[in-house]
Amino acid sequence: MADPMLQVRRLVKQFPVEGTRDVVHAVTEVDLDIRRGETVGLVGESGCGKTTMGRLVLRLIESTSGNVLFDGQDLSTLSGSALRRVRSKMQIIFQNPFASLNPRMSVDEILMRPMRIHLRINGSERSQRVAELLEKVGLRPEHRSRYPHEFSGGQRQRIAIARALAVEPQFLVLDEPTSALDVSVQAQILNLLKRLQREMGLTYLFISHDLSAVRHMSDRIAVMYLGKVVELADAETLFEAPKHPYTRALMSAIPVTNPRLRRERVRLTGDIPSPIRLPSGCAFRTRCPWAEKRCAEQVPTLKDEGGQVSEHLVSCHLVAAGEEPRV
Amino acid sequence: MPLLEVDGLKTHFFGKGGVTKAVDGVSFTLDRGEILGIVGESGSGKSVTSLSIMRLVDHPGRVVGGTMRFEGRDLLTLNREEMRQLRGRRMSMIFQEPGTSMNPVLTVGFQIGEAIRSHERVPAEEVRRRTIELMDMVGIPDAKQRLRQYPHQFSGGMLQRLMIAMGLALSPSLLIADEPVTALDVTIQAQILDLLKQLRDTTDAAVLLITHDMGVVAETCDRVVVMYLGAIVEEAPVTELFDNPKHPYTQGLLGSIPSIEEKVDWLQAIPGTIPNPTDIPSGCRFSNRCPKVMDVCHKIDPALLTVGEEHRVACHLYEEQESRDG
Repeated sequence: MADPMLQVRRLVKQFPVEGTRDVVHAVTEVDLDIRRGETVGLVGESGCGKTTMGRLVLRLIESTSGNVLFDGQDLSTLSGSALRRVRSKMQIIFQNPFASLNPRMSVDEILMRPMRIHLRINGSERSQRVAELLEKVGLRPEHRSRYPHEFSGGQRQRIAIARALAVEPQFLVLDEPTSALDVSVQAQILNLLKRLQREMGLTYLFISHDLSAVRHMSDRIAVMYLGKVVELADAETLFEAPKHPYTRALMSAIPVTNPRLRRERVRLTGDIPSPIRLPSGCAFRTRCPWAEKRCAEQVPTLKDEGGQVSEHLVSCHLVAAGEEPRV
Repeated sequence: MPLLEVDGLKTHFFGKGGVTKAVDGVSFTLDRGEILGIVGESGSGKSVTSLSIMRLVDHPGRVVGGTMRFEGRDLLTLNREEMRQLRGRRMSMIFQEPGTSMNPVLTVGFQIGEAIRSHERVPAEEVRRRTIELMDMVGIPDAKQRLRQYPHQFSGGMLQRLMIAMGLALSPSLLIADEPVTALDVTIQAQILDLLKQLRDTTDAAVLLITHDMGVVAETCDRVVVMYLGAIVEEAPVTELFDNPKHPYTQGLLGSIPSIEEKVDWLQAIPGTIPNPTDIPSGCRFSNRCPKVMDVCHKIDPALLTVGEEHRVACHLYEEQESRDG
């Protein structure tokens, strides 16, 4: 693969369930590469493990097993100053800008603090940099002395973005960065993130349940279901020709902003199973309209079903055998 | 005669910091068997509009103007008991967070049954039979067993189905659904929206669907009202609104949504942020964010003009057109 910045290898995260021997299987044996300068979208419904993935790749939580390599360095082997050095290259933007900013710190302090920890520059350079950051994210110079409660949700998310950029990162995890915002403000933030990526050559992991936002932002997209990646392809292919039955159901469930296109849906019945007791074989088989006997018996693996041009990984027995139903 | 006729509704909140005109002169009608969407962002007044219809606005809020006629009766003249009789029996409401709308220590069967018992004297066996019927109707498998379970034993989508069952217990003619799918996953959303459409078809109830999601509107509604800062800025049948949006706010809202069908480089975001509802701009309330703003927009609040069949818009851009045509 060309120039991977982040390599995820057989990553597993299990959370213990208090008072029992059970575990929640949040992430199960995920492999994922993110290339320098691209945006990889991570989509799935609640409980699919996408947010846990975001935390794991930054080592904000420890994995149960598996590796995350950033620029070829295994994060789990690093500690102390070596870990801190890598951390300054990777940052995260959270969903809720009302909870992720310290209400007692002014914008100035919020932006200065990460610089003090990670950058070796003096006070006047830091102050100069705050001014540059504010301009970059579309805030005015007079905003620097104000406090988070004086800003709207969209403006707060701009502050959070400026804070992430303060330490000159190369890689950003965007965890539902616009989900808490009004529609008209969402578009501003998505445009801002795109512009910053072009200007600064950033690499993004864009986590969202919003498929249209993911399509808009991503070069490649991974679809997760119950802790596993079930399909991975470039954005165009995934939306034009999804292969996994779950991806197909997900695509057809998206409300389309065109009332002339009220479509027939691939209907999913039932609910997402408990991540404590995963179904045997394929985890999706309990809701899959095309499940067969072998789906309960064997765990499917991700296989390349694409053509010559690009990789298209799918984890499905039927697709692998070329037997998936046409719709 | 329409099922519901709201005319010039004004609901204001009298707080310490001044008056918030949450709903400020809203008029629309709703027919039997119709799904009307009220779409807007935070502060648009869409939820307060629905609470006003249910007469559930609490202190410091008050309906200070306008009329609301429902099944021919003037809602503002009804007393507490008459209103209680109407709620549940003739009109009912479901909310965004189905989990918080139910009592965690009572079985779901008891709670659905309560909706029946509080309005009708019927024997226990009859209540049980109807409860099972309702749970079947909204697609809950094994209703006989599951009515003995508690809310925490149901998923979010199942709870919303239960809320709908409760809302429909006495076959009301109006169901108000306030962001009914916002808290749900997209595959579950689709199920619930399908259920609402199917119920409208089978029961002929009207649905007032409050949402911020243009996709939900496009998939579900027959007609749409777009609200911004307490007022209606545009109203049209659903295909007309999406084919031919007139108000710069509606246009901006549609341009803000990334499309699933085609990839564009940049979204047409609406600049600025939604003003605080205590501080509504003078003249047109959208004037400080409008890309097509003119001098007159800062001075005069535009009235709703008819610009097509069942298509109304509150914008000075279309005034000339109307005087020319009309």
